[in-house]
Amino acid sequence: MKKTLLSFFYFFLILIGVSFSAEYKPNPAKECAICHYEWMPEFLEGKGTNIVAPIKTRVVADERMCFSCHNGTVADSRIRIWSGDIHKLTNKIPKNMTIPKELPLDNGKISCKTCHSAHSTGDPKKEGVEKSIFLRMDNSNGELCMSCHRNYKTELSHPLSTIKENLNEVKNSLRQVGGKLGTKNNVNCMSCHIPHSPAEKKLLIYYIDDSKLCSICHKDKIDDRFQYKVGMLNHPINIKHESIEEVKNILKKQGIYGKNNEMICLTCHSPHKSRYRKLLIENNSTSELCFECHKNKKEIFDSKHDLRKVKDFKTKDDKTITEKGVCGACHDPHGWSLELPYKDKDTDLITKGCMSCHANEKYVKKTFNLDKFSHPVGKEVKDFDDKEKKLILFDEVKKFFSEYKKGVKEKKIITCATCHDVHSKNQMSLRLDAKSGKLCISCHKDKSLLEKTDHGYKKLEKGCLSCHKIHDSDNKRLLVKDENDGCLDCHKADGLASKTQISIKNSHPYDMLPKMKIDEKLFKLKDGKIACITCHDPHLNSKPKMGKDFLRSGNRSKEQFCISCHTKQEAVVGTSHDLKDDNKKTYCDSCHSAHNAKSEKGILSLSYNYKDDNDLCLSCHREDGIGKKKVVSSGHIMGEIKKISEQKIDKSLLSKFGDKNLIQCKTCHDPHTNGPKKGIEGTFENSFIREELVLKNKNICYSCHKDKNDFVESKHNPKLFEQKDDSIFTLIKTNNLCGACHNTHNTSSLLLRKEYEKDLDKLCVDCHSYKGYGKNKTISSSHRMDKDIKDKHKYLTVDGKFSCITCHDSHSKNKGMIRYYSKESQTTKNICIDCHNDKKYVSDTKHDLNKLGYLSSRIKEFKYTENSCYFCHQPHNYAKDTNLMFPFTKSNISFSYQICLSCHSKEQYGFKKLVDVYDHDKIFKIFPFKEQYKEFLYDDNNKHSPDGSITCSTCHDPHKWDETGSKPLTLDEDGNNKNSFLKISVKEKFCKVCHGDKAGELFDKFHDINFRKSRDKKGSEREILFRLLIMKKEFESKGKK
Amino acid sequence: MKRILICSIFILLMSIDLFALELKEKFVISLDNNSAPSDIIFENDGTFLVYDAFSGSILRYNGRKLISKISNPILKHGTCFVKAENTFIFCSNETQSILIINRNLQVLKKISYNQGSKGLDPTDVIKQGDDLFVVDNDNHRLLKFSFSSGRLLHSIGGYGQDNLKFWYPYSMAYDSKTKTIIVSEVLNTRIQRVTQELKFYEILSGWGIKGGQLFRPAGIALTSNGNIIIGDGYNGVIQFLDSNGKFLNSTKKDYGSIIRIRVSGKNVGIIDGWNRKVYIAEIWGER
Repeated sequence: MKKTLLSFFYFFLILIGVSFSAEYKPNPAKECAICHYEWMPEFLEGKGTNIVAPIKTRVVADERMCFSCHNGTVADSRIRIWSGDIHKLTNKIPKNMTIPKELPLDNGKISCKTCHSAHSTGDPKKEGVEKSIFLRMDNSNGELCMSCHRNYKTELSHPLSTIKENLNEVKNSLRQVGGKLGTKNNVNCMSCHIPHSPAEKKLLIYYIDDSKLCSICHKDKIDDRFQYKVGMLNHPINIKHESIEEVKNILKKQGIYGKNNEMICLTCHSPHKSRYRKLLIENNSTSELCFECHKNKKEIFDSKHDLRKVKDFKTKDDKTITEKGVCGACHDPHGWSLELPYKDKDTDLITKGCMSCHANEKYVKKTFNLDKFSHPVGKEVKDFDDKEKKLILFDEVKKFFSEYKKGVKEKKIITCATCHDVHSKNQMSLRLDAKSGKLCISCHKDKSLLEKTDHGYKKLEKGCLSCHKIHDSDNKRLLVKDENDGCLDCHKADGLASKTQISIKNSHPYDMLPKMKIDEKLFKLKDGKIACITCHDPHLNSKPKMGKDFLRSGNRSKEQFCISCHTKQEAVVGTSHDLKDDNKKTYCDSCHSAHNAKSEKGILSLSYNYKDDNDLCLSCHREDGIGKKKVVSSGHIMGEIKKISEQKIDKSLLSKFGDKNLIQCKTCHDPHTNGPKKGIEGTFENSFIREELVLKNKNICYSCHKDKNDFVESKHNPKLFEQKDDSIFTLIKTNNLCGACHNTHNTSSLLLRKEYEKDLDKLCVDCHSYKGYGKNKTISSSHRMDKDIKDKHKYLTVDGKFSCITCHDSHSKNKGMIRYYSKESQTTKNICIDCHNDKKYVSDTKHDLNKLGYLSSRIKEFKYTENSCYFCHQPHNYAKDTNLMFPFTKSNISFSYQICLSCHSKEQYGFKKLVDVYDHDKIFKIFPFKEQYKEFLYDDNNKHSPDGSITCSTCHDPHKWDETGSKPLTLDEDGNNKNSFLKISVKEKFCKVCHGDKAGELFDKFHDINFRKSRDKKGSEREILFRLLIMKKEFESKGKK
Repeated sequence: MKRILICSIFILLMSIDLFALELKEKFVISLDNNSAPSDIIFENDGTFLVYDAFSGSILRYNGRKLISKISNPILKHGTCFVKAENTFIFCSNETQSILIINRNLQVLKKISYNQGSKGLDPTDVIKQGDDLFVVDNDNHRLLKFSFSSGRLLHSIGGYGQDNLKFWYPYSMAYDSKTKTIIVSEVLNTRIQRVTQELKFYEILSGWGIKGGQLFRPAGIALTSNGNIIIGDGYNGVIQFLDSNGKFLNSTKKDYGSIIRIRVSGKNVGIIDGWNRKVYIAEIWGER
């Protein structure tokens, strides 16, 4: 279009060839008359035509003439120029305005031609077509505008300064809305105004609503969304000014509002008509403009926040209080006057504003530390109900401050200003009195009942502040003291509440993690731990007569209160431990006292000399106690268990005290649960036995004594008794299977009846008697008990003596309830070798009768026994007059012969080795050195004795196949003179004494009847006597020496 | 005799009046200051549409009554809005193109033509068969496109006062009898008639303010008999010329700045851009 216009223009220049000096000579030629309509020949003659009437006035450059081309037929300026407002085309020229002669009026009226001309005014090549052709004067820097509007050149108008910051951004923004900067990037008339079709009244290029026009350049004050810049605590804009009266006052002072009386930049600033600094509509050196609207803030004069009192006070832009005014000391409408602290903290701006002074001592004495605990600010209050409007939340104060913090504007937020009215002269600038609690209770209405209690301000000198420190508290919940929630600061001997002093030591546990689940809707934990506030709410309405002192009990009884946490303990109700009666308020109180109890453990209210946990029980279960029917004097082992065999005892059931594992009453008992109904005798299962123990095993003894679990399958289990009486049936019914032998309380150390305390074996014998439950296994004789055992530590003994329990485990399911001490004995099922280890070689020899397979078919009475020893020896019920527990009665023949020949006879086990010759006694009777060789001599009890004689035992050891203890290769192998249970060394050591060199042959052929018959017996006797004589002499001579 | 003479004169005068071509104004619609009425379409149902270039709206009237208004920003700042069967053809000066638009104002097709850096400046169109004739105002041309393919078929003009040259051609009308197109030239102050093949046919009228002369010719139309109706963009006079350009009659009323005249049967729509008015009139006296 420009080029077309240009060509249009050149066309005029070339074709008409008329100099502009001829402009004023009417030329009816088309080239002139096409605009100079009045120059049409007919009109010049004063005539009209058949289609138009004559005209007498100049119409060139009147609006309609311009429009006749700019109507879209040549150029389309309908919308840009003729669709909106337009520079005044009037003859009412202001008196103080002089229109220069270069700008012609049209009959005294401003018209298009006043500013425009179709003839060139400049250099089109240099200035561009639009400037050079159509404007009568250059207007690059507003020269054309200001040639009429000369008054602008006053100091108190918007400066025409050069834009330096954000230049390109400003330029682009202006261009988009039809504005432009001057030749030196300076602000000029055309930066804000446009003569045709402006967006806004006053020929403004852009809207004043939402301060949009100002925001184009003043980006430091208004953001891209035409909102006030956030984070600066600046005066809000674009919000409705509610007070009609104030609006009227501002309008009187030439302030301008946006739509719906919204405050905009022009509300306070006048870009052309101001007479005051900062283009303000009113002088504000003493905050007059501020007080036009903020009348209620005048109280700040002479208040603590009247900073005129502060020496050398300066704002961040180094202005004095005189320069800024009282309000301006803090409030610069375009940003807080002081440096806002805590740039990195997400703290509300009002707090930051306050802390711009109160964070350091430069201007104030009262400083605060945000790192300490202070009343929360920046917290949203959702249910704030202050109908009296005594306090203000952020949504109220936002009118005075532009925002809470970035992105948060509408929420009801607590700020410093909620409690403090910094413009008032009140004490501490508080909006309400704090000591009386009015300030606090305005918000904390749930604490209002407090006033009527002992915690009320009438009782406490400083009201809420007695316990709470609002600023810079070292403690959570703004407590003055953290320890014991500060409660004991009063509830102590010399405290304000000395009458209700509390001993922490004998009170409900404190500062501990609760073991049970706590309903935190009802109770309040402190860092997850129990504290005073867990049970008590110091702000509650107290009902001391009901025993509910500040308890968080609500509508619950005190019993229900305790049970809310101690749910298990409710089971005590109705049991014999339910001591509630008419004198006791609750069943908890019967034994416990939450505070100032008689004991630390269990916080018992019962008097007793408490030393340990067991004493908690003994406070009642003693001779003079309320539980005297169940006095416990002795019984189950108590106290520390030092060595714990995990296989035997479930360690987890024991009580812990530091590193110690203890058995205490509570190991088995829980005084609150599983008790018998009041007045009914408890059983083994429900005598306050810990339920988990009962549930786990029914028989609680098994819970710990895991090693006794085999007992269930043993013959000592009453359930398996062949004969049962009522006592046994009762035991079975109550699962008291151990009860046949044991009682837990008031018994001996092995929990046996006291009569067996010193003779455990008697218990066994009493049972295994003809009158006892074990009469099927009566005991008439037993392995000797009176002998001291050498290695006592290896065996289970009673006072180091052999006992039934040495060989028997009465809880074992083994056959015979044998107690094996070694793997070898357990494998071979031979307990005997655990003590008689030297006899173990008998196994797998011909004397191990179990291994002789031919016996069972040959011997009718043969009975297999697990223990090989039992063929010859019996641990019980053997003949009383035998020492080796043989099953037969002692006869008058040598014991050795008797026992050996009892087998080595035709009808017995040793039928394959019958002994024809065995007697050596006759000769031996004259042997004079029995004392010296008694180790080879045996008496009738088969013991070494100088009074003994040569018997089977002299040459044979029935437990060793040979002297080394080795085994025969096969049991069918016949013996020879080196084994056959012979003691080979006897030949040299003993036989030679009498028989000399013949001893070997005699030894080897001792049982050979033919050899014996062929011998020269008399000659042998002489030789023997001769040797004995020589030996006698040798002994005598040695004796003399 | 006297009576006969008087009657004869009366009859003569009557017969002259009866045959004088003129407009009988039916009603006028005034639009507000924030409008720029630019074109008018007579619909078959008796309603008519007014195109407002300021708001990019199509206003449907039934008589004086506005019955609907639909807008589309794409329609802002245009000049012509012409009906073609079931579609509309829109002169989009903003996009320097011709837009084919459906009745919901959705763009179906865009026809544009650039010669160098100069784009189209369309101010009027005629669709005749598949031929689409376009007045390219700022480029002083008349173009013929294929409506279906959008391809440029032929172009005449360029700035000048000779035959087949133009100086701000603005509006045009199709003469079905001669199968020619008449084009109003604003600054050449003439009407140029060209054939459908864009061959020169004749120049009608010329500069002046007498009957049959033109001062600022803009809106142009043809009656059903081929007479020419042409409106002036400055003095607001509408002239009636016969097909040879001979002056027949003119209006006495000042129609402001006439930028568009459309004829449908006997109905005439006149757009006064200066006063933002739309006149609806009827043609009277045409034989």
